[in-house]
Amino acid sequence: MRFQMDGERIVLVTDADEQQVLGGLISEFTALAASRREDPTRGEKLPKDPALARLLPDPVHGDPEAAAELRFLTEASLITHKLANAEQVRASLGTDGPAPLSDDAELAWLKTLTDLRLVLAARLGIEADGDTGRDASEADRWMQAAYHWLGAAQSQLLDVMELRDARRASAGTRESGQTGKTGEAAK
Amino acid sequence: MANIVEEPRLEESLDFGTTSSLDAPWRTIVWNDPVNLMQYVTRVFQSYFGYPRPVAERLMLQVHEEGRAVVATGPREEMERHTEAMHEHGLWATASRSEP
Repeated sequence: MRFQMDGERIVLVTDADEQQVLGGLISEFTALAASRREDPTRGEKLPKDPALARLLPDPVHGDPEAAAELRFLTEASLITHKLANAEQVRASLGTDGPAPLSDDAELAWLKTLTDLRLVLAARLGIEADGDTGRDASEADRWMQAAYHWLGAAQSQLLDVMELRDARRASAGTRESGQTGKTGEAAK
Repeated sequence: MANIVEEPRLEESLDFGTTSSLDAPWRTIVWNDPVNLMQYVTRVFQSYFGYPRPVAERLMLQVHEEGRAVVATGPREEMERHTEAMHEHGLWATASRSEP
């Protein structure tokens, strides 16, 4: 999986295996996030599942009542937002060949890569800086690999976005420079 | 926070975020977590709050090193909106009343 520059756009390049793995992770994520909607304590208390608790943390510090009130107002839309991002990522996976990403899709990718890593970290027991996470079983080791793969992908996407931003900025400077010259000539 | 690329450079020391409107009743705090990349947190502070890069990097480093940073202060509803936006980005944030 790679993000590449194509002019001032970013395109995603994936192979079939990567599409399958990421598609599977997204399906599990979607099922997990959607499961919260069926939870009778939804919108009231911090979810019991540590992965959901990290995705949907208490929004107010030091005031459980205010936290519950605000959660009641915002949790459903937060879940909807996360599911929509995941769907947008899944949609860009379906295409053969390089898939151009809109600015909107870039943001959905950044957020979904984060959400997937938050879930994997919770499953692996990564709780503090420096934790490497459990690696007792084959399943643990698979999740470890996925966690690091997604982190590397996100880092690479951020690098490419920075490069693209710099190109856009210098193109903008050139354009305004030219406009300035035209203005001078008109005088 | 996790850093798999490079240490960000702290170009200058500015003090946005924490000192503006000291008397404001509420604030948004971002807490450290072991998952989010330093590069990502910096980008979120730049793109969402519109902070210049040195400010975003300083706040990111404060989160990383001190465990938390006040990223905005102001009216309660606005701080609650910022908190929700941080959750949308996968950052761990809370709103709270400023300590007197």
